[in-house]
Amino acid sequence: MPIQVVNTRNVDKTAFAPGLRISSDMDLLFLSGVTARPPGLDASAPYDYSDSIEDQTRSVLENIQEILDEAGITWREVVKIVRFYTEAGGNAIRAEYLGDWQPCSTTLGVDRLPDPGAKIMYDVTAAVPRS
Amino acid sequence: MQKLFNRRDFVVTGSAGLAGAVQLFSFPLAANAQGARSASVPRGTYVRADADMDLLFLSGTTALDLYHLHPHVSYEITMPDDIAGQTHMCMRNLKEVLDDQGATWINVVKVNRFQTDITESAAIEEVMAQYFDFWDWWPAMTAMEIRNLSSAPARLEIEIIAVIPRDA
Repeated sequence: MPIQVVNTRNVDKTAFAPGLRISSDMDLLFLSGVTARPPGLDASAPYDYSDSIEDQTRSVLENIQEILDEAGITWREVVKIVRFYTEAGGNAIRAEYLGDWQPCSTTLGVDRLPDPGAKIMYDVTAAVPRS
Repeated sequence: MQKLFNRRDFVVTGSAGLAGAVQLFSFPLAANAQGARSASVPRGTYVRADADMDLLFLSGTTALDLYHLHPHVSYEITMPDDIAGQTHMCMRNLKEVLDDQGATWINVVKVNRFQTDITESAAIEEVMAQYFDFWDWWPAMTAMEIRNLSSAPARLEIEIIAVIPRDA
């Protein structure tokens, strides 16, 4: 397996991988922080963020999906997610996209995100198999 | 040939590094601006690893046991209040993953530290030094202060990236 989940104990207790090892020649794909704001939207254009953390989380995941599609990969190739949030919530929605795939994960509560109204931002790293 | 640059090698030549598996390169202090800076600043500057190595990403870990339920349950959230104790427990969690993959601290190329109080950096680094052989191996490191970690008593979260030379 080119991407291998590291489980140091034989227990099913984590929502994410303690570690993850990339062991074949793969390109690394670094995504800029993704908020609910559509990635195609002009940076100067106003965007009306939903007040709901669940709605925002779904939009974030949809936006990432769009980028992954563009790169020709799936969530299965995502190796690392860092979540920055100003309001907790929406965690269950992640599983709808990730399924049983558990990339490495770090979650941080922050004071502010770059865009006013944004409550959650995902920072994603993926590995792309070389064709 | 794999290459790894260690901050120390800008200052001191002949460091052992990843014995045998990885070749360390040294060059005169004056030849490199980052090396020159690192001579006066007690921080890692950069570490360069050849692409022909396995990459090991580790999830960020607090003092909470590596394996815990999600969502978090209160009876599992138990950790010392002092930052030194929490740092030891973070390092213990990371070491469990490194050990499992046959890696050690000198395979670590990047450390991100998230702290609820940035003034605790010195105390954290004092503990980390014990694992990194008193900074004989010095990974690239970023520290930042943030408001919340994954549980109320947590004051430190550490995430790392390691590289592991492939078997010949």
